[in-house]
Amino acid sequence: MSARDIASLVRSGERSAVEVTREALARVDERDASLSAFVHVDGEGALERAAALDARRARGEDPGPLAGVPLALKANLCLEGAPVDCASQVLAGWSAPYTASAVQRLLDAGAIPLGLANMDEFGMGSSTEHSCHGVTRHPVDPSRTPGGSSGGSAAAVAAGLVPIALGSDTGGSARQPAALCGVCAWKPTYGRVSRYGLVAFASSLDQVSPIAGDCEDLSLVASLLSEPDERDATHVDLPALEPVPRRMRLDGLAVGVIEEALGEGVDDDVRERIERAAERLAQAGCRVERVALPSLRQALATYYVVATAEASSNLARYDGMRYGPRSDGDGSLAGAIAAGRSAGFGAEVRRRVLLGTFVASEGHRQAWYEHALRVRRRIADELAHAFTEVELLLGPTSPGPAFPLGERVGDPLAMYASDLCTVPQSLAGLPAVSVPCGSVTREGVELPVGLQLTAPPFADALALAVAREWEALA
Amino acid sequence: MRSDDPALKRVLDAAALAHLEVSEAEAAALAPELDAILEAFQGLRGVAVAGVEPLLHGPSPPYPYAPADATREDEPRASDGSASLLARAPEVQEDCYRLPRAFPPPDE
Repeated sequence: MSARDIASLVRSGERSAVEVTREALARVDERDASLSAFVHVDGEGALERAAALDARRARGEDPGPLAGVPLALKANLCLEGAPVDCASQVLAGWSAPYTASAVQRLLDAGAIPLGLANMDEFGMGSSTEHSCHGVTRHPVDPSRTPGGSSGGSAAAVAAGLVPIALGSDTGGSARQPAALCGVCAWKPTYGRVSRYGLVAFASSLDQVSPIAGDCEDLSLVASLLSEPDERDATHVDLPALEPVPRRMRLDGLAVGVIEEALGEGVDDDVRERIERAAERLAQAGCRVERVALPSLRQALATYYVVATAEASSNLARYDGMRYGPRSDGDGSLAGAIAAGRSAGFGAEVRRRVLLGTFVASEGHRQAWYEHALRVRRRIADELAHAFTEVELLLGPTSPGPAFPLGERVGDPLAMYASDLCTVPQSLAGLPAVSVPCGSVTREGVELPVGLQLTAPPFADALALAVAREWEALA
Repeated sequence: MRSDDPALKRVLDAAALAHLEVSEAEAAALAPELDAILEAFQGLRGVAVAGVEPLLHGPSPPYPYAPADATREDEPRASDGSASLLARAPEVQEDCYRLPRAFPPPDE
């Protein structure tokens, strides 16, 4: 059932929030043992919130547009008092001292968080295999990954455990798992949603991103998340998005199919689904054309240089002195810091911290990090130029469907290539929506494909509206 | 692997800067991995960027809206306070984080 249908029943009094929460917890209990989408479930806390919401409704108060809607939160979002370990041993036992603004918006709207969803450690991964809690499995094929790093959030929605979840998206971490699991995700324009209370990975890229079963639920959540928040200095002061995307005519809409997003590294069947989607949009009246963006060929390398450099800086705070367990090391301060970080970080985080430290270090910074920032501008400029000719860009969200667990976990470059189609938008700070677009068959299993719609800066509403029209067409 | 191997030196130097302990065996495994990643990223360095300003984050101006004043009134306000943070710290003394000794004790 959709979030809006649940909220409608709870607001009208046909269902109580407690009933809805009990059923959701029972689903998690029954089905999550095989999925491992959740790393922490607070059933008691959820039922308490639900009872309080029912009491508010009984007093005649409006319980909100998400009244009683079960919610999953990625384990890097703060909910006061709940564990927030980012799937890392370095934060084992840490609980959030305050609530993230994005989370608070959904609580204020009546959503009931059931618990925390699995993720790649600090968001560094594309398969939810780099987690201290173990792997999350794909809801359709348990031998495959749900994608990542917000794999727990996407799997929880796709499996019907919750209708909506919050993830985060640095280089595709919400869009890619949503695509692989057959659900929807919105990566806001950089600055459109407050990041207060989101644990930082790469600060010039990170965004809170909702995941939902369809674009109407996605837009409802987007409208709540996009309210202004002065606690995040990067948050732009714009009115919130509309809760229901406007119905729009696709007649004459200029859509550019990104050549490079259908080129090398993209699965043939995925390419065919996207080309078919472009044809369908053309039949619906869109003016579809191919757009060449050659600098996108450098987007993956640019992203990994920028993101790892920022990560090495952001993760310097995990020194074992203020968060998580402390190690003794050789007894000195420096020894204790090194011992704690070394024991606490998993293999991929260590790899990225080393890479990021190298590219930002004296003697290499100019050749790598600063150079990447200049290439980043070329990529952003090329995308901006494309938007002088088309209103929306289209391509796959992921270069391939869900891949087998273990296939790429030991091959960092193969794992990084999973982000091929989602990093350009992150580098340029553009809004993008991933929406289901058919499926491909692998070993007899139908695996979802995601269509990515990219809009100009702050045209989030356009991407959400066209995604909704695409759902109606498809 | 020789200790003057540039790929190994790169790992050991970065590990020292990042305050990470890396065993010899781990360094030997990481060196070719990082080498392969940087080799795969070499195409990036071939992109001509003369005269291109670094982009620290997108979207870059001009924005399709009037930017708000990024500064706010300088007024005292309640913050989240240190108590809840210290309550979560591994080791505290009074209202401070307690750290291991940073320097050896002075000679008696």
